[in-house]
Amino acid sequence: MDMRVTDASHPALTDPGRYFIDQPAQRQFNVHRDLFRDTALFELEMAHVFEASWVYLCHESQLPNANDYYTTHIGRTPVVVMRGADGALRGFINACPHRGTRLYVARAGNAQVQMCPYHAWCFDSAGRCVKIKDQPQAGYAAAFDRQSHDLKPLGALASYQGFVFGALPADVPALADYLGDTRFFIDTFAEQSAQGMEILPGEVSYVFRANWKLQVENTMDIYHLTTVHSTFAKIVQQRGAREAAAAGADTVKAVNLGALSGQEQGTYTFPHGHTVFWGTDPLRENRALWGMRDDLFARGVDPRKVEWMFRPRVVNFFPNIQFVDSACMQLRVIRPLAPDRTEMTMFCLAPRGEPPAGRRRRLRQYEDFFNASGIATPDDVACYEDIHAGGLGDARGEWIQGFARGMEKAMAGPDAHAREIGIQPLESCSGVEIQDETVFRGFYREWLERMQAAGGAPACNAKAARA
Amino acid sequence: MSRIELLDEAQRLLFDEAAALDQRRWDDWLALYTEDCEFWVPAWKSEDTPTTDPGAEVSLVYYDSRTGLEERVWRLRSAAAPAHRLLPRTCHAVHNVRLLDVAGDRLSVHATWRVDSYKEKVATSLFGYYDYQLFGRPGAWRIARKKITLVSDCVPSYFDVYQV
Repeated sequence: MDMRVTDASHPALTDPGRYFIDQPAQRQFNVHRDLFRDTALFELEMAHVFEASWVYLCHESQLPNANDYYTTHIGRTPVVVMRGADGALRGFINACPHRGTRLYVARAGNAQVQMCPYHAWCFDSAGRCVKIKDQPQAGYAAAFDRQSHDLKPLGALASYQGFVFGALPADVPALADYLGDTRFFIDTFAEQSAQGMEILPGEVSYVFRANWKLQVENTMDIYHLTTVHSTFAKIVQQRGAREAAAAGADTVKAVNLGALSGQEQGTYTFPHGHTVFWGTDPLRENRALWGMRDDLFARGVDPRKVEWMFRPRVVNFFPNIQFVDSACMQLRVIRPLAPDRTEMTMFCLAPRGEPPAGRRRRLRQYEDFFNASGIATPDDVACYEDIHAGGLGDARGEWIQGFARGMEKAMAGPDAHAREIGIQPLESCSGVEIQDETVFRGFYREWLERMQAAGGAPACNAKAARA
Repeated sequence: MSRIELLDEAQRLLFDEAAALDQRRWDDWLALYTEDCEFWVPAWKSEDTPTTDPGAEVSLVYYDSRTGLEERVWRLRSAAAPAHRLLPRTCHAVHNVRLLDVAGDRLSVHATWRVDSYKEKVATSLFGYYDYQLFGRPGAWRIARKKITLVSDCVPSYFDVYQV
């Protein structure tokens, strides 16, 4: 039981609906700026959003062998995922039960037995306490012997297609149910090779000075592309022009943002706050995966999934991972540190057995656009930081307006594309040039439900209003 | 030419590069590189090991010609990139310069570096190692290869090639 003081009378728990204007009949949705900057609220959302249900932890390829471990966090809690000597994956709080000392310090490694550096209690790779130093002479009471000294297991740990998720509480939905129909899209990230997928060596982290929810919004936000990434788009055009003039080969073949606009695009909202963006890339032959397409068909991968593997798409898993395939595939793991500080850790996901030319192109596309060192992502980060530098607008507390595009186009249930692939989103919005913002509502409505549930308020106010 | 004279020439080039970046003389900076230069900032695959193969592992930056650097310069001059609305003031310190190898028209040079950046009253610093391969002849060296190992790789916000 978490006994940290979290003010139960905080309005975020007693009246979380105060942060939103959600009036579907009036086609209005607004979010209050305090959601991005309130320190007490931040602690509550760590407890009730991040530490209350499933979060993404790692990919199975990151701990392939017996006794491998991988360290990460669930909200504010350090956790370790371990592959036992029996090959099974387990998740634990990464702290010695004795004094709470962190046990595993490296990001990843291999340890049959891990000794606590403080008083030398030892734990095996199944989390069992195998040694308490100087136990017989210590004068321990029977009460001590009745306690478990093993590592505290996570409430739940499960994988889907190699992606490992964990939760602190045990009473969470089955992972497959939690993922729901987002599984179709996750499959398009997972089924690209008969040999499975791998995380390429070289994880990249950076810390920006802005609220984590701005990252969630940005990755679903198509409206920003033509302004924020105008220099990226121009550079890609210049490369094409140089190549056409035989003045230099374009070896990157980066995603051409200019070619995407004017094409069909859309968004889906799923239960539990998950959302999807998709677009249409007329230059799919430039994707690194193009060289493996014959293999995909030969293996009998669902042709509808193959079709969607070549669409720009994002799965925003509530709350902490974004499966992105825009410039190329990227996993973006969000770790909030403070209301105005967020650590991002980025992974390059690739199909095993990819031909070297495709792998090289994938890497160049990845570095070109992404990360704190690319020529596109820094512009996103600069904009989040300018939101905070601008005090999120009027300090007297007005409402953020960025949830209005697509309001007259969004529809309940599946659109034609969703029906074709057999999925049942709560809402769909598709067309040309909408650059939809209504999809953000799905994320915020789930956030609201979590806070309402934590405050003991009857959930689903927003749902009831929608019905 | 003696080894000490070659080291002196190599150091001058490294210091000239640092000054060109700090003084935002971008064309002078680009002119220090050969057209087919390799410019590489590896990522890290563990606490202790940077990535070593740009063909199979992630890099922070990898270019196999000067064109990528020219694109970066075009971008920061364009005034259209949100990340470059205000350019930070930078201060490159290049130290512990060692001439590792002399082979005909090529010099291998190692150095350590620290770049302090300052923007909107906030100072940040990045630091690491340089591994250069210089190409040319005495009195006329250019950069054929530069590997920048960014030791402090979990960066605040973002960085560009003039901050490492």
